[in-house]
Amino acid sequence: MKKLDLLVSNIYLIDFKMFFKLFKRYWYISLACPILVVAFCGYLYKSQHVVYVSEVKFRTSNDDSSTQSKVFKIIGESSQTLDLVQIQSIITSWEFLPKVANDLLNDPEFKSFNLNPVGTRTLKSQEEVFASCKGALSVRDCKINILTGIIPGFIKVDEISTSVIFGIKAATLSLNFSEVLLKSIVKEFKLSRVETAKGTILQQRNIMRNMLSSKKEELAEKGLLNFYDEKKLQEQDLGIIGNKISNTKTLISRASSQYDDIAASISLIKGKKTAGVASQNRRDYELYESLKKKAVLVRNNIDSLKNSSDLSNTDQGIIASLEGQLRSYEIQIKRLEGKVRNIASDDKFVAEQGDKLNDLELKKGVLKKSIQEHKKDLIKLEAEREKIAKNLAVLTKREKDWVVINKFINQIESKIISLDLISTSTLPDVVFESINPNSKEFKPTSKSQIIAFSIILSFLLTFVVIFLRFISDDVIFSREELEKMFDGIEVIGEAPKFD
Amino acid sequence: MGLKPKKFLPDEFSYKDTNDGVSDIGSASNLKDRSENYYKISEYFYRVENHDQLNKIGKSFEKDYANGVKSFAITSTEESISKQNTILGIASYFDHLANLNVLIVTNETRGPLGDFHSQGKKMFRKYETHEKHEVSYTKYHESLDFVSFRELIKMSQGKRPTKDYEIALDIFLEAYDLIIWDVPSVEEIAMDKQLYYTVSLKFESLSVVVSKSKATGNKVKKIVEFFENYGVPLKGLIYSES
Repeated sequence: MKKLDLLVSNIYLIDFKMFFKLFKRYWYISLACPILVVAFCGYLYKSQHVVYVSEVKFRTSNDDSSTQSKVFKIIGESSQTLDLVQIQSIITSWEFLPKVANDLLNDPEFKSFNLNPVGTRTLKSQEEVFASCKGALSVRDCKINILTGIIPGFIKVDEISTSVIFGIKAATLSLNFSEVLLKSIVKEFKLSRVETAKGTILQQRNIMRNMLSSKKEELAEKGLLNFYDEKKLQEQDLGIIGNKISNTKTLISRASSQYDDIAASISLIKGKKTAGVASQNRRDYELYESLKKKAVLVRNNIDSLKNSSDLSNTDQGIIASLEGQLRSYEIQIKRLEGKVRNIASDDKFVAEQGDKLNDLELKKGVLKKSIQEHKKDLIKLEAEREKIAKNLAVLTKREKDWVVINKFINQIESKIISLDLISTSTLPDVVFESINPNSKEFKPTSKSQIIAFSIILSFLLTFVVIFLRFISDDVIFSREELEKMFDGIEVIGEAPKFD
Repeated sequence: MGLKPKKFLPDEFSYKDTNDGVSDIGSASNLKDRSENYYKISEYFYRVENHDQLNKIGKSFEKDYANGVKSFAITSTEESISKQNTILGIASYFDHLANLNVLIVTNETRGPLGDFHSQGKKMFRKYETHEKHEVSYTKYHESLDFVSFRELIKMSQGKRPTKDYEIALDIFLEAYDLIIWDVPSVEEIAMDKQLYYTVSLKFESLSVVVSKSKATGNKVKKIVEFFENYGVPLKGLIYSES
């Protein structure tokens, strides 16, 4: 620990000056370590195999072009785009990889594929890679299992633009293998996304159906399952009853009117019959008839006088007197004419209708009976209408519940229909660009990386070895070391030197 | 800071100089007068490239010396010229600082110390405790005395170390103001522990020269533990670039 104190600086934690001295002191280590590291790194670089990389870019879409987006839009949720972690987990999943492995096995050039990991130093043939499949029940399944295990080592997914553009690289030790592998990944990834979309549709459809059942059960529990039909029926009944009531009222009204007319007629006839002789009108009528007869006689006399050839003055005076009398009669007749006209017509009416009275009396009786029956019907109808109206009022009160649930049910049914429509043409939510035909070739660890690594490793190794050498070295190299090692003993000074 | 050399020897064991014409007087008090060659070793003080470091080390040793420590053992994780330079540097520092009678105990025959040792004037010191002792040493320009561990161990006369040997050793060392021990490797000491044990008792302080890129932490720990077991207090570590 005392020696360790020599390497500790109060300022920089490590005493670099001391280390620099140690580098000089153990110069052979300072020389040997970098040489060894450089040789080792050179070997590492040289022993690397060339890696062939095929690359393809794709973008995720959350617009309406993908089925997945449509589904999310229908269910009313914001669509979720794929992120890097999800893509990586899909590509390295045990559902995805066997499909890719199967594609590879089906490829006619499969036997030329170099299946060794890119970082390997010793190459294995395919026979060696699949050596464990000898004697397996299904050699193909065994190979698929092995390929499933090694494929992830060939694939790398990068996020080129955050959550929008991604890149998949396939890096293997043979050019054709990289290309075939990448094509297979692209194909299976698209299919996977389509299957996922279908699964989502199915899942959402089941959810919707469950919700629908649930809501219908809720309607049934609340007794609203046939609410609409029931209400409509009640409304129809109410309408019909209303019409019936209206019709009945009309009938009653009409019958009453007829009844009243007949009653009036009967009364009139009867009234006219009994209008009576004693009545003033009757007397005026008789006076009127008398005056008319007298006026005719006077006029006849005047005419006969006027028709004589020789009219004397007396005659003329008589004529004038008669004409004066006639005018008096005519004035009285004219005065009575208005009063006695009805008497005249009544007499005529009584004379004409007298025979119909019996019929009218009969009709009146029939109408009265009919009105009574209609009125009974009207009471029944109104009672019925009141009953229906009460039922309808009860239904109307529950309509709010029904409307809410029914609206929900309608929406769900609408969504189920939409999902059914979408499922007919399913599109993936990723859009791949064409695979870059120019595969890259490189060594897993580049020259600059190796150089940087060797520099760092040289320094670290030298540092560590020198440190260990220093710790294990008991030789005293400086006065400072001596003082640190024997801090309880005074170092008097340095030995004199003579010239 | 005034220098206060410490006496190893108890008062009752004052040494007796045979003074037979070939031996030197080992007392510091007799070394006041110096010839022109006296500062020969001091010249090395100016020949140091990293003078600041020598000064730092020298000050540290000077402080110990002032506190009564006069016997400094210097060892190293491996045999190298750095240890000799360090010893030479410390010696030159003290020589530059004051007129001290300095003894360097070393087995080196090569390198700066080896050269001084071989170029110096051969001297003998004879004296008696309960037994007779004769120590061969080298004097370099009156500034430094050199003696080998073998010569000091030889004073035990091939026997197991005894109290008399220890006293004889003390008598010899008492003659110096400052003793610098060029301690052999732990492995070499371990081969003859009994004899080195008596000598190592005279170490009052141990400094370990640690050479860059050669020394290991374990080696340093091993040396420190080894001398701690001998009761030698550890002064510190001296770092060497070469």
